[in-house]
Amino acid sequence: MYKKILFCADLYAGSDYAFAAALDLAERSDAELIVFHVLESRHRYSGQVITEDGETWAGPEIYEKLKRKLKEYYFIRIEKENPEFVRIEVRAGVPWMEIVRFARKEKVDLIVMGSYTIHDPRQPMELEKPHLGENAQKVSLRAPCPVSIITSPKQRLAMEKAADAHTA
Amino acid sequence: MSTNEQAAVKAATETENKVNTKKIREILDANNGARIRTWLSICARCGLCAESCFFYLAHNKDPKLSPAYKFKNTLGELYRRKGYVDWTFLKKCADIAWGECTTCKRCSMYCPFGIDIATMIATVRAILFSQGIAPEGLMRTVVNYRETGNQMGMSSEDFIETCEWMAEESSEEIRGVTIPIDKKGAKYMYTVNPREPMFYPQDLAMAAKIFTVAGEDWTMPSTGWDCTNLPMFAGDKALAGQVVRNMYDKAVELGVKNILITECGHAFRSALFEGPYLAGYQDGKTPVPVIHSVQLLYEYVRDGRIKIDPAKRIKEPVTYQDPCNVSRNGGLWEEGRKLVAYLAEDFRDMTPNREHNHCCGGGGGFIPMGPEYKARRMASGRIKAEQIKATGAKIVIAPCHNCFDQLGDLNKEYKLGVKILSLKEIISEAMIVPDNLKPEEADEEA
Repeated sequence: MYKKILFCADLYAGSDYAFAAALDLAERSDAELIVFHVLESRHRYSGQVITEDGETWAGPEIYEKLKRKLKEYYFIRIEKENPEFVRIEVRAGVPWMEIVRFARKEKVDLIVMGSYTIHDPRQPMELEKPHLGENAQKVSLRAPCPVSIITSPKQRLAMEKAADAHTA
Repeated sequence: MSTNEQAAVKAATETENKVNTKKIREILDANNGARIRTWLSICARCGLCAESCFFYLAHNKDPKLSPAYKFKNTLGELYRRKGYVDWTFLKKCADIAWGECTTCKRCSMYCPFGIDIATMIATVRAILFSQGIAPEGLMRTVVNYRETGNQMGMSSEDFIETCEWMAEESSEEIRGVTIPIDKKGAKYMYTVNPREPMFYPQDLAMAAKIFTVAGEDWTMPSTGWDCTNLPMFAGDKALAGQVVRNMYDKAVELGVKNILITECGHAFRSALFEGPYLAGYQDGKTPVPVIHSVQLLYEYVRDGRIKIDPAKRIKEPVTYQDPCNVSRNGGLWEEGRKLVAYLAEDFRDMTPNREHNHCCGGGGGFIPMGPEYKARRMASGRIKAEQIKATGAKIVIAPCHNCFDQLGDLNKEYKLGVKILSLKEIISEAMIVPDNLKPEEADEEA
């Protein structure tokens, strides 16, 4: 059974399916669900990150503001009031690196994420044609645990870990 | 005031307050030795330094960008007015000291008197820092150094975890790769730029693979692993001394034989030549020898400890970016070229080159000063972009993180169509892995 599930929130509507699947699995497995977002550092030589208000220096205020936003956005999608099994975490850096680093550190059992990586925010998203973005690719190649990439509302995650199923 | 000037002094305007003349005079007095007095008085306005400066060349030979003008109108004026200056004057100094000079020291080579203009600009930066003036990007790293000992504010725990992660990944390719932490008595204590564990952890993996194949006795320290020194460029000399002491003290504590510096230019400058003075070593000598990666990697290949697969030598035309603090100031321009000769078939040198090479435009703190300075970096980097273009090279090898990032930006800005690579990247790909180090799966297939 899963004890700790990491959902990577990319802040695009496309990953809502992944959140629904992660939430559903966390509720059924009685697991902790970590909602994780990485503020991207576009310039890999400074602590500036991209936020909805433009580029700025990462710091506690930016993190807290984003945590509040993530809480607002995701908590209304959870039936249970004050869901204590959900934790919100924010980091800054290169998304796939921070996801893998966090997953290793927290020893999560499963990573759930959407597939999309947006390179040019001016281009419209093509939800009908999901493809593996750089972060989804790199995370799935390097993660210390299984990774589920969810691209459709029909996808439901199995409760048992692959290893558990094998031993059962 | 131009947009550029506004950007340069943003931090200054944000913290505008009364000028602390006493502090300025203290710094002026402390530096008022024979050296600076001679430099300030001996300059003959010959203009030879002007033609050596890439800022001057990139801006239509604007006389205000000649190094002589820059030091005369900053430190020269501060001495002439005995420190009694106003805030507007300090803002102008900030614009020059950070926005128009990378302290690359090329002008000193062309000055008939050998006036060290970079040192004078560094003194101006120290004076400005004493007034709370420094570019925001550098100020933020200063806070990180103070709190965590490294510029990116990375915790020791995260650093060690990243080393473990990279060792695990690398051991899938080369058997027995480890990243030893705090190994006492090792031959090399490998220190890195925090950009590596933070943004380019693969760099750690590449180094670990190369050291494993070379059979090196090495370690990474759990503290003092950041060999960069941005307080040195921000003008915070006290903290710059502490940063370099962290590294020296750790090397002494572990009893290592050498400190090895990653492919970073200013880290070499800090650790090898400026560091001892910043850290308070009166004899100017480091407590243990300091070696740059360019030197060690060259020796590995020269001595056959790393063998390059002839089939994997780079066929495309290649050029080599001499980082100011590795080549001109560090003396390793020939080692760099000899190493590249092993790695690439078609080497095309830039003009000028070796110790005469131009700064990439990202040194002296320019890169970490952040995006607000990018437009200026790109404008003055035109000289470097033209140098690269003239070689016809498709690959630029840059053994310095600042050069690497600046060249990456120039590549996009000037559509150079080149690929920027580090030495580690090329060597870890092209080296022959001995059979006993190949992963087990490969053995089975064989």
